Amino acid sequence: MDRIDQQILEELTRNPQAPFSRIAKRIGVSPITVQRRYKELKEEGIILRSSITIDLSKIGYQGKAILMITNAPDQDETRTTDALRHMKNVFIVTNVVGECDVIAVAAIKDFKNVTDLINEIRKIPSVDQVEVAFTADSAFPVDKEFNNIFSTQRDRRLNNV
Amino acid sequence: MSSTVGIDEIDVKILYELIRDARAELKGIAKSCGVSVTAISNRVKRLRAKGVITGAAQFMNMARLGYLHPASVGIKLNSSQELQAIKAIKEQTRVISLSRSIGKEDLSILLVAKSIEEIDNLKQSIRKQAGLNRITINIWNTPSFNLENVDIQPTRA
Repeated sequence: MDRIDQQILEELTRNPQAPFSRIAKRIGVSPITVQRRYKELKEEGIILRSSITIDLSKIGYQGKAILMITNAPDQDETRTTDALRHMKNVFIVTNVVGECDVIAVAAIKDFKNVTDLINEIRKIPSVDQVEVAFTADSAFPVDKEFNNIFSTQRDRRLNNV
Repeated sequence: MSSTVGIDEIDVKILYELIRDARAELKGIAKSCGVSVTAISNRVKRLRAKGVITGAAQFMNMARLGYLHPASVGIKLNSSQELQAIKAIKEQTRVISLSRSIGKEDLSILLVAKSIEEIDNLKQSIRKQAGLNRITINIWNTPSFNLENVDIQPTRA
């Protein structure tokens, strides 16, 4: 990664939907260069997917459930994550190191939704325990400020503290 | 609570296309919906104006950029200290999201740190400023984002 790549990443964190022509203008290279670099960064696996952010409360959801799952001792862990990845409304799944084994985040419409989901997760043979925290925070999949975390300006600010 | 915005099948299709790729071209979306590019563009504008679409997020390979440790932090507070706790946490630059929750935790935080030491420092400074009862940290390993799993149905306002 060189300076131009870094500038492209910086522009993308500022606005993931910025046209290549605008990015090109801002950093003083040709749009073709931006397009080529973007493709390369994607192929190298540095740029992953992008998504719009949605306010779930506007489309009928009450919030999100954070599910903290403990696996049964003698089971294959991947069975839990594989099953969760295919469950309706479960949009983040990750193995974790800490208090539990797997964390999943799901969009929640109502209480019936929650009980159905928890029952479905309990049926996964490799799952031992499910604990849950609810939030009325309706940002999907992450806050729209999410990108700020990658901003180098933010880092500079942090270093100055 | 904000009220529901009416969306139809075409809006649903647009939302899914833009969840799949925030940079998806309107031309392609128009084609798959069988309507004009102008119609799609107007619908996107409306969805933004109504606050359904709030922005966009670019996911990067955090590890390749030196952010090795996404972690979720759950906090159980002593009573009446919520506001101090939120203030203290919001000052932490590594915090991606902070939300009030009910159930196992009072506050749910997602952060991305460059080292374990950084997480430990964050934890200590939050603890010092907010007098919290219990703090649990789960470090994420290989998270997967299956955003298409979210079930979007047409709604009436």
